Amino acid sequence: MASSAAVREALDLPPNAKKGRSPPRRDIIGDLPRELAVLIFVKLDTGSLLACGAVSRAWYAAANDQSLWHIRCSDHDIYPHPSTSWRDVFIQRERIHRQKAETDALQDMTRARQRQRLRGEGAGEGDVWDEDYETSLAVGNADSPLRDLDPLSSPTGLASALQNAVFMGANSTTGGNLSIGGLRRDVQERSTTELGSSTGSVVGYDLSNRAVLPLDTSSSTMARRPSFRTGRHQSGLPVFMMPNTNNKSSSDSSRVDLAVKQGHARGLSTSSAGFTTTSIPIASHSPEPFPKPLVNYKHLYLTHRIIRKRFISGRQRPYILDSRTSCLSGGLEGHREGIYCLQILHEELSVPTTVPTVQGIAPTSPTRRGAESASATLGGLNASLLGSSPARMASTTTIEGRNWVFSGSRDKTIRLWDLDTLRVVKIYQSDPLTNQGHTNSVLTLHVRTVSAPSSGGSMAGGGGAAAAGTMTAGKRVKMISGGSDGRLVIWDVLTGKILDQIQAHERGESVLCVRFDEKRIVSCSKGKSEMVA
Amino acid sequence: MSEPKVILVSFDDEKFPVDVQVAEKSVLIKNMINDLNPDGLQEDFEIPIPMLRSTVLAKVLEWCEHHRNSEFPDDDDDDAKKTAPIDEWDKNFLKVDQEMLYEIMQAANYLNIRQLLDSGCKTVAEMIKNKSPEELRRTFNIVNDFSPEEEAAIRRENEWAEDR
Repeated sequence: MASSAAVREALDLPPNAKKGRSPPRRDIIGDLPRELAVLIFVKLDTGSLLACGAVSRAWYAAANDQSLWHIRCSDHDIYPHPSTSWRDVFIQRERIHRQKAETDALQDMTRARQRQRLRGEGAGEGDVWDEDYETSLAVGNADSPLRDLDPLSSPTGLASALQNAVFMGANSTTGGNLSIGGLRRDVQERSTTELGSSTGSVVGYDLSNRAVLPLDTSSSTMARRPSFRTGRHQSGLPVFMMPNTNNKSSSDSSRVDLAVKQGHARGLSTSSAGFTTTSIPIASHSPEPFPKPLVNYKHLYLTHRIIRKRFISGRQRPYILDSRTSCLSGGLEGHREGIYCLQILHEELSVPTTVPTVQGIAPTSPTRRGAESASATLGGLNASLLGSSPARMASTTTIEGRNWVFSGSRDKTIRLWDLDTLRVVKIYQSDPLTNQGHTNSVLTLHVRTVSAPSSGGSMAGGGGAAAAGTMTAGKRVKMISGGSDGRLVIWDVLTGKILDQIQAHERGESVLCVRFDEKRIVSCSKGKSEMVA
Repeated sequence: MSEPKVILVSFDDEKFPVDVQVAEKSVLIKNMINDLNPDGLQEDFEIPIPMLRSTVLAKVLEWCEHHRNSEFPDDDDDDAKKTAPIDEWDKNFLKVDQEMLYEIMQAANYLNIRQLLDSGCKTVAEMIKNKSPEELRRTFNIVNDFSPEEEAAIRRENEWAEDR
């Protein structure tokens, strides 16, 4: 018979098994090893899983386990934005540095308070914390032994193995202390709680996400220092709490973590509330961005789920784009008459523009029929654009963004809306000097990026010599619009200049649809003629 | 002499002689047998399992005995595994109190018996499904240790997730 001692050794058992365990009943989730809890939760539907998260701290921690949500994401073929580049990382880092100054004051207070708490509890970790660390880092240190166990939070872990897993939920629940905030911001938006959220490979996402924004200002309610509340804090989706990674630890110390993190989250969103496009990581600010961005899979999955649900049910939450929102956001005024055509453009652009520096709306001029709301509905976008005039003190600025909407209207103009800030940033209208541009309603438009400058000549076809001449190197964004005057007008989207104009159809024959590519323009008109240039 | 047996010894020193085939349902035991007896089992082989009470070990071995000839779907075939309902026999087998279920799952995890663990997880998942947090607390006898603020934050978070 084999020696039982050898077997014991092989099993790596303690010499004497612990005695006297098994309390009458145990927490079947909270007391099981985390990987088993995850195994159970994986089999649940999302609704049940969310309910589990509301049961207790231990359940919350298990139900927010990143590996769990990672599995769910994989099951549904949801992956983080694949195209996040190092450039994004760099830009994000710049943002973090910029924001740092604003948050320093807050952190000082948080730090002091945290130390006080820790002393009160006599927690040992307090002694080893480096005073020069940011508070958040200190929090990270407290977690670190556990973080090493988590594949997602470990630098060499699962997250880094995902070649394309480059986005980084700022408050990624397990190892979030090191993440750097949303580069593409697809996933992170809730945590940044900014209205100015940008990107979204699905435009509908942005639309839908923003629609959720007004629901609450909850991230602040978690905080315990009402003195930090400011009136500017107007966005604020619920922020994922940092689950207590160590579900066996004393709930007191986790409470400190939670409080500090929430304090951070709050302070940061406060400091940048409003219509900004900054995105700041919550509860995680290492001075230098961690080179392996982390993904908040829970948020990624839930966001996708919401979008899918809305898409399937056809139920959208519209938000209004109109002159009022535009002016309130510091943009130009909106259309004065009905809108006939729209196009969304998802492209990173820097648009030089003239925007009023004084915000606010002057009383609507009686001569304008602005009150007559012109509305167009496209998908979830209910664009009802009213005319009214802002108090104007113009200054030239450059607006950067990724989500744009072009709208052509009966008022003979085309306007460019910045979806990130819900405002008009540019107006394309006819040039009185050269008499170019639309003399009647804009019925259709098409925008696209033109890559090579050499393609300009052939693109504009017969009348395109001028367009070819003005082309410069690099990619350009062009727009062609057709109006009820039978004209096709070619615009340079960035400068707002008219590149060319083609009287493609007979005067009075409305151009109903126009499309173009690198080489050709096609348009069709009311007169049933079709024209290819 | 008949086939050598594997003798599993529980925490309370109760001995469970079982056939190799049955014991090898546990990957842990299977590896151990192979590692310590590269030439095959010549004699009875005693393995202490001090993590398990005899009642739990008996239960686990009952499962192994029942499934000694069962063919399980390929481990890699995740889809089949996920969608498959709980084996009817397993379902009745796991109709035990939570304490026992908990220990069976711990045991299955420790002994590396995937299918038993899987059935256990499914059973617990069934118990959890479609219950409110309050019902869950009652079902599993859990104390709500959230502060009111935390609870409110989670409720909001879930409302957001449900998109209502």
